Amino acid sequence: MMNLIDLVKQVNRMFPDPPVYTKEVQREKEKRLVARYATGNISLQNGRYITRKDVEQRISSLTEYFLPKDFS
Amino acid sequence: MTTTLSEISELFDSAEKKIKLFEHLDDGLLFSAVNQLRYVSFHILRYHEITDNDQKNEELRKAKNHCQRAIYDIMEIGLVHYLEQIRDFEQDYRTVVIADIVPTYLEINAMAKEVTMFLSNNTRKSLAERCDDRGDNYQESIRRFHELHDATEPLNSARSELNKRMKNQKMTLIISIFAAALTLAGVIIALLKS
Repeated sequence: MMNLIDLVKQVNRMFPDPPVYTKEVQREKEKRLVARYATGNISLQNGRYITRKDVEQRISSLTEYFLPKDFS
Repeated sequence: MTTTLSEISELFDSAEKKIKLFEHLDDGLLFSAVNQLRYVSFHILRYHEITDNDQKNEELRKAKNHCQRAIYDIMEIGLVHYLEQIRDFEQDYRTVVIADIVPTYLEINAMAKEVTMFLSNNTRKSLAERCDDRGDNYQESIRRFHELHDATEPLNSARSELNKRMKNQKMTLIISIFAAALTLAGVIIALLKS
């Protein structure tokens, strides 16, 4: 049994899983960092903030919904 | 036309209040608006440092423009917030007739399309164009924000009535299926007996 576990471990070492690196994971990390170091504003301390990119994404999603012809 | 410090002070105060309000209404602090206010302080400090009158006026003009851009940015997120409310409402009640409970529904929808077009056009502009226009667009954004705010109010109050309608619709469907199943069972039994 131990040999089988060792074998699986060896195979995993030789062929590791691809690293988890998505925009969402990155964004969560970024929010945690901001929350960790921010002082003086309760929203920032809770990682609650909106960037220009967030606003543009939301507008793009609304354009897709309300003006599908314009979006394409 | 020269810009006065009191004019800037009023605009700054208005922008600051709006930033605070939207910080709690939406997803948190809007960085771009805060950044614009940071530039206001930069220009005001420069205004105090320099002695040339023309340059002083130019610094005040720039400070005023940044205040207006801050207001535009915050109104933009306000408009996005209400447009998302309208979209969520449409998706929640896509299976029921809304127009008789909310008579202004078609107007609200048309307004939503118009506001989306306004936001989308401003977003598509280049950075330089946007910086120039945002100051001019701030009054239009305030007007549109108030219109959209007033328009979305009936949607929230109509939710309870529409929820009842959805429940009734579901109940009618269940009863119809049950009645159809009973009829079918009756027909099968009758056929088996004969």
